[in-house]
Amino acid sequence: MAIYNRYVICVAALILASAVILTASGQGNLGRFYTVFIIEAFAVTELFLYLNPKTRRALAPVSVILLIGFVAILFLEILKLRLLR
Amino acid sequence: MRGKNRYEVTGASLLLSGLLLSLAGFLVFSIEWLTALGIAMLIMGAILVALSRTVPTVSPEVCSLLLETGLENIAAIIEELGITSRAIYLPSSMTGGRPQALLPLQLNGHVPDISRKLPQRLIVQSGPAHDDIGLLVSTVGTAAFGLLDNRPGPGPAELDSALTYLLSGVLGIADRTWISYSGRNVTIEIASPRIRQRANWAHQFIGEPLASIAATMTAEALGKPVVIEKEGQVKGRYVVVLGVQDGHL
Repeated sequence: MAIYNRYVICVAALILASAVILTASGQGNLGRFYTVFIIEAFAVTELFLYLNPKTRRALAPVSVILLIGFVAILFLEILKLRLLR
Repeated sequence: MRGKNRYEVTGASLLLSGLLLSLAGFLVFSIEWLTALGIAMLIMGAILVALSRTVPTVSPEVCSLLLETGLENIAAIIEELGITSRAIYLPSSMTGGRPQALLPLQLNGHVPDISRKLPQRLIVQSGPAHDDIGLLVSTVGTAAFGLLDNRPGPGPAELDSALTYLLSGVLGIADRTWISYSGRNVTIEIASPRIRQRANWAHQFIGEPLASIAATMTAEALGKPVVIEKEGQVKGRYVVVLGVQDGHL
Protein backbone atom coordinates (compact mmCIF):
# COMPACT_ATOMS: atom_id res chain seq x y z
CA MET A 1 0.00 0.00 0.00
CA ALA A 2 3.01 2.30 0.19
CA ILE A 3 2.83 2.84 -3.56
CA TYR A 4 -0.85 3.81 -3.30
CA ASN A 5 -0.07 6.36 -0.61
CA ARG A 6 2.77 7.84 -2.67
CA TYR A 7 0.51 8.03 -5.72
CA VAL A 8 -2.28 9.82 -3.81
CA ILE A 9 0.18 12.25 -2.18
CA CYS A 10 1.77 13.04 -5.58
CA VAL A 11 -1.57 13.75 -7.25
CA ALA A 12 -2.87 15.79 -4.31
CA ALA A 13 0.32 17.84 -3.99
CA LEU A 14 0.47 18.60 -7.73
CA ILE A 15 -3.18 19.54 -8.02
CA LEU A 16 -3.17 21.79 -4.97
CA ALA A 17 0.14 23.43 -5.92
CA SER A 18 -1.15 24.20 -9.41
CA ALA A 19 -4.39 25.59 -7.94
CA VAL A 20 -2.36 27.99 -5.80
CA ILE A 21 -0.12 29.00 -8.72
CA LEU A 22 -3.02 29.55 -11.10
CA THR A 23 -4.92 31.60 -8.50
CA ALA A 24 -1.84 33.67 -7.69
CA SER A 25 -1.30 34.39 -11.40
CA GLY A 26 -4.81 35.77 -11.63
CA GLN A 27 -6.46 32.99 -13.61
CA GLY A 28 -10.24 33.21 -13.44
CA ASN A 29 -11.22 30.61 -15.99
CA LEU A 30 -12.47 27.42 -14.34
CA GLY A 31 -11.89 25.47 -17.56
CA ARG A 32 -8.16 26.18 -17.30
CA PHE A 33 -8.06 25.00 -13.69
CA TYR A 34 -9.85 21.79 -14.61
CA THR A 35 -7.68 21.13 -17.67
CA VAL A 36 -4.48 21.50 -15.64
CA PHE A 37 -5.87 19.23 -12.91
CA ILE A 38 -6.75 16.39 -15.25
CA ILE A 39 -3.47 16.63 -17.19
CA GLU A 40 -1.61 16.27 -13.90
CA ALA A 41 -3.80 13.36 -12.76
CA PHE A 42 -3.23 11.52 -16.08
CA ALA A 43 0.51 12.24 -16.07
CA VAL A 44 1.06 10.99 -12.51
CA THR A 45 -1.02 7.86 -13.21
CA GLU A 46 1.14 7.08 -16.25
CA LEU A 47 4.39 7.82 -14.40
CA PHE A 48 3.54 5.34 -11.67
CA LEU A 49 4.60 2.42 -13.85
CA TYR A 50 4.49 -0.16 -11.09
CA LEU A 51 0.82 0.13 -10.19
CA ASN A 52 -0.62 -3.32 -10.71
CA PRO A 53 -3.09 -3.94 -13.57
CA LYS A 54 -6.02 -4.28 -11.16
CA THR A 55 -5.38 -0.76 -9.86
CA ARG A 56 -5.05 0.64 -13.37
CA ARG A 57 -8.35 -0.96 -14.34
CA ALA A 58 -10.00 0.56 -11.26
CA LEU A 59 -8.65 4.02 -12.14
CA ALA A 60 -9.82 3.77 -15.77
CA PRO A 61 -13.45 4.84 -15.07
CA VAL A 62 -12.14 7.90 -13.18
CA SER A 63 -10.01 8.81 -16.22
CA VAL A 64 -13.01 8.39 -18.50
CA ILE A 65 -15.19 10.64 -16.34
CA LEU A 66 -12.45 13.31 -16.22
CA LEU A 67 -12.08 13.10 -19.98
CA ILE A 68 -15.84 13.51 -20.47
CA GLY A 69 -15.65 16.62 -18.28
CA PHE A 70 -12.82 17.96 -20.42
CA VAL A 71 -14.80 17.36 -23.63
CA ALA A 72 -17.79 19.15 -22.07
CA ILE A 73 -15.61 22.16 -21.20
CA LEU A 74 -14.16 22.17 -24.70
CA PHE A 75 -17.67 22.09 -26.16
CA LEU A 76 -18.78 25.00 -23.96
CA GLU A 77 -15.72 27.05 -24.97
CA ILE A 78 -16.42 26.42 -28.67
CA LEU A 79 -20.06 27.40 -28.10
CA LYS A 80 -18.95 30.58 -26.35
CA LEU A 81 -16.65 31.50 -29.25
CA ARG A 82 -19.39 30.93 -31.83
CA LEU A 83 -21.89 33.02 -29.83
CA LEU A 84 -19.37 35.85 -29.51
CA ARG A 85 -19.07 35.99 -33.30
CA MET B 1 -10.30 1.49 10.38
CA ARG B 2 -8.15 -0.58 8.01
CA GLY B 3 -6.93 -0.26 4.43
CA LYS B 4 -10.03 -0.58 2.33
CA ASN B 5 -12.35 1.38 4.66
CA ARG B 6 -9.76 4.11 5.13
CA TYR B 7 -9.58 4.85 1.41
CA GLU B 8 -13.31 4.46 0.91
CA VAL B 9 -14.33 6.73 3.78
CA THR B 10 -11.73 9.38 2.93
CA GLY B 11 -12.75 9.29 -0.72
CA ALA B 12 -16.45 9.58 0.06
CA SER B 13 -15.77 12.48 2.45
CA LEU B 14 -13.74 14.30 -0.18
CA LEU B 15 -16.43 13.72 -2.81
CA LEU B 16 -19.15 15.12 -0.55
CA SER B 17 -17.18 18.12 0.70
CA GLY B 18 -15.82 18.78 -2.79
CA LEU B 19 -19.32 18.82 -4.24
CA LEU B 20 -20.58 21.20 -1.55
CA LEU B 21 -17.55 23.47 -1.86
CA SER B 22 -17.65 23.67 -5.66
CA LEU B 23 -21.40 24.35 -5.71
CA ALA B 24 -21.06 27.00 -3.00
CA GLY B 25 -18.09 28.58 -4.73
CA PHE B 26 -19.78 28.63 -8.13
CA LEU B 27 -23.40 29.43 -7.31
CA VAL B 28 -23.25 31.37 -4.04
CA PHE B 29 -19.92 33.15 -3.73
CA SER B 30 -18.84 33.22 -7.41
CA ILE B 31 -15.21 32.70 -6.37
CA GLU B 32 -13.22 30.77 -8.99
CA TRP B 33 -10.43 29.53 -6.71
CA LEU B 34 -12.96 28.15 -4.21
CA THR B 35 -14.78 26.31 -7.01
CA ALA B 36 -11.42 25.03 -8.33
CA LEU B 37 -10.57 23.75 -4.85
CA GLY B 38 -13.90 21.93 -4.74
CA ILE B 39 -13.17 20.37 -8.15
CA ALA B 40 -9.72 19.29 -6.92
CA MET B 41 -11.38 17.61 -3.92
CA LEU B 42 -13.84 15.84 -6.23
CA ILE B 43 -10.97 14.49 -8.37
CA MET B 44 -9.06 13.25 -5.30
CA GLY B 45 -12.22 11.71 -3.83
CA ALA B 46 -12.90 9.81 -7.06
CA ILE B 47 -9.32 8.51 -7.16
CA LEU B 48 -9.47 7.36 -3.53
CA VAL B 49 -12.80 5.57 -4.02
CA ALA B 50 -11.35 3.81 -7.10
CA LEU B 51 -8.24 2.77 -5.14
CA SER B 52 -10.37 1.45 -2.26
CA ARG B 53 -11.61 -1.32 -4.57
CA THR B 54 -8.10 -2.65 -5.13
CA VAL B 55 -6.43 -2.60 -1.72
CA PRO B 56 -6.00 -6.04 -0.11
CA THR B 57 -8.85 -7.12 2.14
CA VAL B 58 -6.60 -9.15 4.42
CA SER B 59 -4.90 -7.09 7.13
CA PRO B 60 -1.09 -6.97 7.32
CA GLU B 61 -1.25 -8.70 10.72
CA VAL B 62 -3.02 -11.73 9.23
CA CYS B 63 -0.53 -11.84 6.35
CA SER B 64 2.31 -11.78 8.87
CA LEU B 65 0.72 -14.64 10.82
CA LEU B 66 0.40 -16.77 7.69
CA LEU B 67 3.99 -16.04 6.66
CA GLU B 68 5.42 -16.83 10.10
CA THR B 69 3.43 -20.04 10.42
CA GLY B 70 4.72 -21.31 7.08
CA LEU B 71 8.32 -20.36 7.87
CA GLU B 72 8.20 -21.99 11.29
CA ASN B 73 6.96 -25.25 9.78
CA ILE B 74 9.77 -25.25 7.22
CA ALA B 75 12.28 -24.43 9.98
CA ALA B 76 11.01 -27.37 12.06
CA ILE B 77 11.39 -29.76 9.13
CA ILE B 78 14.90 -28.50 8.37
CA GLU B 79 15.97 -28.88 11.98
CA GLU B 80 14.47 -32.36 12.44
CA LEU B 81 16.10 -33.69 9.29
CA GLY B 82 19.45 -32.11 10.11
CA ILE B 83 19.65 -30.26 6.81
CA THR B 84 22.75 -28.11 6.56
CA SER B 85 22.87 -27.41 2.82
CA ARG B 86 21.69 -24.21 1.24
CA ALA B 87 18.49 -24.33 -0.75
CA ILE B 88 18.76 -24.54 -4.52
CA TYR B 89 16.07 -22.42 -6.13
CA LEU B 90 14.74 -24.23 -9.19
CA PRO B 91 12.79 -22.75 -12.12
CA SER B 92 9.36 -24.13 -12.96
CA SER B 93 10.85 -25.99 -15.96
CA MET B 94 12.62 -28.29 -13.47
CA THR B 95 9.69 -28.81 -11.10
CA GLY B 96 6.05 -29.60 -11.61
CA GLY B 97 4.99 -26.17 -12.85
CA ARG B 98 5.93 -23.76 -10.04
CA PRO B 99 9.39 -22.52 -9.11
CA GLN B 100 10.39 -24.21 -5.85
CA ALA B 101 13.42 -24.74 -3.64
CA LEU B 102 15.32 -27.99 -3.27
CA LEU B 103 16.96 -28.68 0.09
CA PRO B 104 19.56 -31.44 -0.42
CA LEU B 105 19.61 -33.86 2.50
CA GLN B 106 23.25 -34.75 2.01
CA LEU B 107 26.01 -32.21 2.48
CA ASN B 108 28.23 -33.50 -0.30
CA GLY B 109 29.16 -30.12 -1.72
CA HIS B 110 27.81 -30.54 -5.21
CA VAL B 111 24.65 -29.44 -6.89
CA PRO B 112 22.77 -32.52 -8.14
CA ASP B 113 22.62 -32.95 -11.90
CA ILE B 114 18.90 -32.46 -12.42
CA SER B 115 18.26 -33.93 -15.85
CA ARG B 116 14.51 -34.38 -15.64
CA LYS B 117 11.50 -32.69 -14.09
CA LEU B 118 11.27 -33.41 -10.41
CA PRO B 119 8.04 -35.01 -9.23
CA GLN B 120 5.68 -33.00 -7.07
CA ARG B 121 6.60 -34.73 -3.82
CA LEU B 122 8.16 -33.51 -0.61
CA ILE B 123 11.07 -35.97 -0.72
CA VAL B 124 12.51 -36.32 -4.22
CA GLN B 125 15.39 -38.05 -5.95
CA SER B 126 17.06 -35.04 -7.47
CA GLY B 127 20.01 -36.68 -9.24
CA PRO B 128 21.47 -39.99 -10.46
CA ALA B 129 23.57 -40.70 -7.33
CA HIS B 130 22.00 -42.65 -4.46
CA ASP B 131 22.42 -39.81 -2.00
CA ASP B 132 20.93 -37.16 -4.29
CA ILE B 133 17.82 -36.89 -2.20
CA GLY B 134 16.25 -33.65 -1.10
CA LEU B 135 13.17 -31.85 0.05
CA LEU B 136 11.24 -29.95 -2.59
CA VAL B 137 9.50 -27.08 -0.82
CA SER B 138 7.46 -24.07 -1.77
CA THR B 139 8.83 -20.82 -0.40
CA VAL B 140 7.75 -17.21 -0.11
CA GLY B 141 9.22 -16.78 -3.59
CA THR B 142 6.96 -19.51 -4.99
CA ALA B 143 3.83 -17.75 -3.74
CA ALA B 144 5.08 -14.31 -4.81
CA PHE B 145 5.88 -15.53 -8.33
CA GLY B 146 2.25 -16.67 -8.68
CA LEU B 147 1.22 -13.00 -8.51
CA LEU B 148 2.96 -12.21 -11.79
CA ASP B 149 1.12 -12.44 -15.10
CA ASN B 150 4.19 -13.11 -17.22
CA ARG B 151 7.52 -14.81 -16.78
CA PRO B 152 10.40 -12.28 -16.63
CA GLY B 153 12.96 -12.25 -19.45
CA PRO B 154 16.59 -13.30 -18.86
CA GLY B 155 18.21 -9.88 -19.36
CA PRO B 156 19.09 -7.72 -16.31
CA ALA B 157 16.75 -4.91 -17.41
CA GLU B 158 13.80 -7.28 -17.81
CA LEU B 159 14.46 -9.01 -14.50
CA ASP B 160 14.92 -5.63 -12.79
CA SER B 161 11.61 -4.38 -14.18
CA ALA B 162 9.73 -7.54 -13.16
CA LEU B 163 11.25 -7.63 -9.67
CA THR B 164 10.60 -3.93 -9.06
CA TYR B 165 7.01 -4.35 -10.27
CA LEU B 166 6.51 -7.32 -7.92
CA LEU B 167 8.19 -5.86 -4.84
CA SER B 168 6.97 -2.27 -5.25
CA GLY B 169 3.73 -2.40 -7.24
CA VAL B 170 2.21 -5.68 -6.14
CA LEU B 171 3.62 -6.47 -2.67
CA GLY B 172 4.61 -2.95 -1.53
CA ILE B 173 7.64 -4.25 0.44
CA ALA B 174 10.40 -2.30 -1.29
CA ASP B 175 10.87 0.73 -3.53
CA ARG B 176 12.97 -0.58 -6.42
CA THR B 177 15.79 -2.89 -7.40
CA TRP B 178 19.10 -2.79 -9.26
CA ILE B 179 20.48 -5.93 -10.88
CA SER B 180 23.92 -6.69 -12.23
CA TYR B 181 25.43 -9.83 -13.70
CA SER B 182 29.05 -10.74 -13.09
CA GLY B 183 30.31 -14.09 -14.27
CA ARG B 184 28.15 -16.72 -12.58
CA ASN B 185 26.86 -14.26 -9.95
CA VAL B 186 23.78 -12.08 -9.97
CA THR B 187 23.77 -9.17 -7.53
CA ILE B 188 20.41 -7.70 -6.60
CA GLU B 189 20.15 -4.51 -4.56
CA ILE B 190 16.74 -3.74 -3.09
CA ALA B 191 16.02 -0.17 -1.99
CA SER B 192 14.03 0.63 1.17
CA PRO B 193 13.05 -2.91 2.15
CA ARG B 194 10.02 -2.96 4.41
CA ILE B 195 10.07 -6.58 5.62
CA ARG B 196 11.57 -7.05 9.05
CA GLN B 197 14.36 -9.60 9.18
CA ARG B 198 13.71 -12.13 11.90
CA ALA B 199 16.34 -14.27 13.58
CA ASN B 200 15.04 -17.56 12.21
CA TRP B 201 17.48 -20.43 12.12
CA ALA B 202 16.01 -21.77 8.86
CA HIS B 203 16.70 -18.52 7.02
CA GLN B 204 20.40 -19.32 6.76
CA PHE B 205 19.41 -22.25 4.50
CA ILE B 206 16.39 -20.95 2.57
CA GLY B 207 17.11 -17.23 2.83
CA GLU B 208 15.11 -14.31 4.14
CA PRO B 209 11.78 -13.62 2.36
CA LEU B 210 13.26 -10.88 0.14
CA ALA B 211 16.18 -13.09 -0.88
CA SER B 212 13.78 -15.98 -1.48
CA ILE B 213 11.65 -13.85 -3.82
CA ALA B 214 14.74 -12.54 -5.63
CA ALA B 215 16.19 -16.04 -6.03
CA THR B 216 12.89 -17.46 -7.32
CA MET B 217 12.47 -14.68 -9.89
CA THR B 218 16.09 -15.02 -11.04
CA ALA B 219 15.85 -18.80 -11.39
CA GLU B 220 12.67 -18.45 -13.40
CA ALA B 221 14.05 -15.65 -15.59
CA LEU B 222 17.29 -17.50 -16.38
CA GLY B 223 15.75 -20.97 -16.49
CA LYS B 224 18.63 -22.21 -14.29
CA PRO B 225 19.00 -23.19 -10.63
CA VAL B 226 20.35 -20.49 -8.34
CA VAL B 227 21.73 -20.53 -4.81
CA ILE B 228 21.72 -17.62 -2.36
CA GLU B 229 25.43 -17.02 -1.77
CA LYS B 230 25.15 -13.93 0.41
CA GLU B 231 22.48 -11.55 1.67
CA GLY B 232 22.39 -8.65 4.06
CA GLN B 233 21.66 -5.00 4.72
CA VAL B 234 24.20 -2.60 3.26
CA LYS B 235 23.61 1.14 3.87
CA GLY B 236 19.82 1.12 3.60
CA ARG B 237 19.71 -1.37 0.75
CA TYR B 238 19.20 -5.10 0.99
CA VAL B 239 21.82 -6.84 -1.13
CA VAL B 240 21.40 -10.41 -2.35
CA VAL B 241 24.15 -12.22 -4.23
CA LEU B 242 23.01 -15.29 -6.14
CA GLY B 243 25.16 -17.99 -7.65
CA VAL B 244 23.81 -19.35 -10.92
CA GLN B 245 24.40 -23.06 -11.26
CA ASP B 246 25.10 -24.78 -14.54
CA GLY B 247 27.52 -22.40 -16.27
CA HIS B 248 27.83 -18.72 -17.10
CA LEU B 249 24.99 -16.37 -18.10
